[in-house]
Amino acid sequence: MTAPAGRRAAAPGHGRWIGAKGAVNALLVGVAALAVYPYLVMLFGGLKSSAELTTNPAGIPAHPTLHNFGDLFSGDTGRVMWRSVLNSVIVTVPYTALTVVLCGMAGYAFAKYRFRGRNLIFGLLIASMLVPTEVNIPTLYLLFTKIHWLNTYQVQIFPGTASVLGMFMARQYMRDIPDEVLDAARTDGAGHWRTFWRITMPMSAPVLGAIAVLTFVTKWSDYLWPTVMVNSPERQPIMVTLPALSTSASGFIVRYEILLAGCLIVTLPLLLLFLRFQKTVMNGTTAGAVRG
Amino acid sequence: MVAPYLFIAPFLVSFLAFFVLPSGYSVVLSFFRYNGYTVAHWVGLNNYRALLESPDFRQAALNTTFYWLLPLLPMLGGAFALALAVRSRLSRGGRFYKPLIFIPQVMAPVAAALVWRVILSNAGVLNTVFGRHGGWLTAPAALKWGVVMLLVWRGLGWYFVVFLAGLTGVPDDLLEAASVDGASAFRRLRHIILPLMRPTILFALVIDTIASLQLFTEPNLLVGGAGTTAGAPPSAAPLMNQVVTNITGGQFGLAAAAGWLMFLAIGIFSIVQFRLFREEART
Repeated sequence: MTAPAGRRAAAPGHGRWIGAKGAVNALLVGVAALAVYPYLVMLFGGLKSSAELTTNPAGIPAHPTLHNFGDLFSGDTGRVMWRSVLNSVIVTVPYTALTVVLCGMAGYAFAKYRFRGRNLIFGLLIASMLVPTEVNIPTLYLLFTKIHWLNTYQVQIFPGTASVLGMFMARQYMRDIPDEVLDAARTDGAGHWRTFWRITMPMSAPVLGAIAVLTFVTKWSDYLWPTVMVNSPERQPIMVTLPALSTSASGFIVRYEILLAGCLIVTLPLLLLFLRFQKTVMNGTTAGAVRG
Repeated sequence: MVAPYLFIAPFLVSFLAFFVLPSGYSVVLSFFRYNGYTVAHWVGLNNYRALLESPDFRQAALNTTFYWLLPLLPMLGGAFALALAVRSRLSRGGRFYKPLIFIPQVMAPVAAALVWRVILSNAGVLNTVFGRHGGWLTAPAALKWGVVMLLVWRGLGWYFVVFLAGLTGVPDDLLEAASVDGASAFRRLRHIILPLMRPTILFALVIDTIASLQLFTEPNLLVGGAGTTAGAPPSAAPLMNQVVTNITGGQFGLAAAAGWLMFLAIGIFSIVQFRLFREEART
């Protein structure tokens, strides 16, 4: 990369090159600033009083206060907030764990075993990715009415854990584990399950971690599914309760500074995961693009 | 040998129970009038006809088309241009800009919609900064534009990362050689980068089509009733609301039919995009 730059520096039109460079960098800085700015609106807004948010929604808080967070976690609002955040954790953690194990097991079978119907089943699973889950919502709603799963945790934990994309990611990774390693384990007397659980799973930690992070982020943020399936505040996750959290009983006064504080709380775990697993998240969301 | 079957069994059971069987049943359901507890009546294609003739459904289809087409240029086009800029030697800061531009995608759609309410409301950020009084969330004609702004903000970084990944498949030496041979930047783009990027662009277009047709959270929470989960008014409601409101209204046949119409639209648009790109490849 350095050599061509050097050659360019010697070429005529050097000044124009510098100008273009400046313009492009300015554009990128501008876009990055616009991308980050709503995060600042959220952070600053959460630290402003109700009066200040109305007069100064855009800037840095003149009198930062943690009052909103106190309000958010106390009184009636607090009861809903604690309950919903807890619900979100109760639902998201087992959902993620289940997804990782199901995808790991299925991916392993498709990667390391030859069996009758393997290609057919695999092909059908991949093809099914074209059918959006949304077409199933009416029938699933009827099913869950019949078996009394509406307004429960299980309706938020079990459906959707058979992620074809996750299975596909696991299979691609596990295919590259050398057969010799698995054969060695087997000659040492390890059975199918032991070989999978003790050898394959630990060796696949990077891809399993990626599946876990992506699943957690998606599930934590999900709004449509719990909106349809869960009406009871006792079981609703935070994403469903948050928008109406600080509304007065009459419904006319919305305390946006409290909503922004709430947004900050629900965004924090996602932001931390992103900062810690940046590459995983960015490569993972676009896995399909690279793998084709 | 049973071991592999045992390994895929839990996955398949979950997949069959929560995906395959409901899909099959929902095809059947779409031909019936059913309220969930009394006897279902066969109505043939009437659910589909009723939806296609319903003003609310048509309006929702128009709204969803709006949310699909309007962000195309700023979001996909913009992301492509930014990726090119980072990939060219005009900027060395790719590794620095990538997470910053991607970060809106990290915010949950619910939180993003609420933050953008504060940005677009009458006494909000946008009006304060520009000293104007646009009623982004109140004027009926403006509602959809607000949603588009939110969608572009949240989606740009995702496509930026997709295009950057695609551009790594364009070899440096090829561009270098073309440049030495005197090919202009435009010709390099037209004859080297675009052909090599075709699969990535197609992927981005198809993903964007699917995501747009399934849109639900952003419009409903951005322009829905303040402080409630009441959802967007008909003039800004997305197609997905046709599925949801028919469920809550106990019209399960209509809800299923709405879901399949959405699937049909996704299928048709995806095939059209595949064909267009194949035609391009021949010329």
